Amino acid sequence: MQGADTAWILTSTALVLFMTLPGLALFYAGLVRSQNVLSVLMNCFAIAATVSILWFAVGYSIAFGDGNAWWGGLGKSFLSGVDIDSVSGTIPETLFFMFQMTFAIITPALIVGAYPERIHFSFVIAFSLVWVLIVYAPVVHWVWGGGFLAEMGLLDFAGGVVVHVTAGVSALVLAMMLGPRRGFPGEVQPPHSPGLTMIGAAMLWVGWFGFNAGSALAADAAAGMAMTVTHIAAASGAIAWSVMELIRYRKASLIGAVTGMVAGLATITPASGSVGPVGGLVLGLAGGVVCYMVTQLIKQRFKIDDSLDVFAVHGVGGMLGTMLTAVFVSVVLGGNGLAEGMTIGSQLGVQALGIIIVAVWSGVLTAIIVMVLKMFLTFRVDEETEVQGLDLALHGERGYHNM
Amino acid sequence: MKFIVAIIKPHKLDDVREALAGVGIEGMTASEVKGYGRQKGQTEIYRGAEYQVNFVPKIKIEVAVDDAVVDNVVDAIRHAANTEKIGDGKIFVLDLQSAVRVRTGETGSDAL
Repeated sequence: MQGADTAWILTSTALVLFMTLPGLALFYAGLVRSQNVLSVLMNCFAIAATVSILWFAVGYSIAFGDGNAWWGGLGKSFLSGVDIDSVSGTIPETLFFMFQMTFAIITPALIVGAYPERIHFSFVIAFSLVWVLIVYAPVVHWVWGGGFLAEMGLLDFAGGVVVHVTAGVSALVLAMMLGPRRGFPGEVQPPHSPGLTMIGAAMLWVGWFGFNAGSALAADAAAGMAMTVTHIAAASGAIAWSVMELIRYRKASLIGAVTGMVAGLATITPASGSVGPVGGLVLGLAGGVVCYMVTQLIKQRFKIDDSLDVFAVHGVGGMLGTMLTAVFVSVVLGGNGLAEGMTIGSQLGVQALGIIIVAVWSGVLTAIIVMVLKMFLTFRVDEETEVQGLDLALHGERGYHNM
Repeated sequence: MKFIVAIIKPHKLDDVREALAGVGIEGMTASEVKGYGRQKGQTEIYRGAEYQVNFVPKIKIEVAVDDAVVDNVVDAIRHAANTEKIGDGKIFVLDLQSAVRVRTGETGSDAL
């Protein structure tokens, strides 16, 4: 065990939890109607609480148990065999368990952006738990737990595939199955509090240092570089999105700038252990521009109400970053260099295959989970509840009191 | 007595209050309201999606006055609230049957 590594991962774990509570929760809360602000905050909070227990019970074991190439088995259920002296690499295994738990929390919480303002609360909880269990935990094992995608040589440092592709694709499928909000696309109400969204986004930016630089699992040079490229990508993503808006509308919006920041961060995530600062700049800019365009495409062209653009920002950013990792890992472009025997071309093939496998896995299983849960639970609230807002109808509270 | 209801642009509230004070009006009620009229709504753009906001923010001022000063008050509001652009609002004058001052129980004009 190494004290410096342990100290940094303790810090990173706190930072990544902070990304969900309250970062992501506020980011999303500002984007919905004022009558639904609490339901979105509650979704994120309830996911954090319930997934934590699930991760302790079996999630961690499925992801990081010994198992085989496909899953980790149930040997570490309830942290069986893990005690105060257990070590994972150079840090305590309890700490590794906690660090990974914060990832397991934020990933289903990202999907909250697909279904707000119309889904039933109990469905959110049931879906999130089953999803973490059968979609997320196995993918973690494949990529980070020594599973078959790790064997293949997939480069995904901090979760471009594991976090952003799984959440993004599942969000898209769920949004299609749930159907759009009333009045979509022409007559939905605009975000009620862009200021809250900015506050949440700013917390995400800071928290992402734990997410990416913490994924080095050490206080070392890789962590320093990961933090550097992460920051550069966040800044360049924000600039890219704002410039796109300036060109098109002559106005740079706050919501646009912070969304571009998230796009840049999602894009750099898989690459943050492989690329150099110039790679960070290019990935951030690419993320801002491409995610901006896909956002228009999903909502305006395909009329899919992935309400807060989870697929367009996280899914697409994660995919783009995963592909560009294969290019910018190259020493010529300032990266750490490809693995022995790999070329940019062959690495691109591995990255693409990894994305396709995980996207299909996430999409198909999400559809099945929704179909099964629909038989037992209310999927979508009735029209009156939707108009009135979920805060009062499902939670018995109001976010704002006017007299 | 008359009861005057004026719908005005929000940024004109202070001008109108000063103008009313200038013609001797000592009290009024103002509230934030939303209105829909010839100004129509406005378009807001978030993440490239255009949102049509049909009701725009307005201020509603309510003031009760003696018959003698009605014309002065209406003129004062009209001049203070005027920007000569569409959406400047409307002034309605209603008959007022009675008024009571809560603290003293005074009625009629004395209560204003």
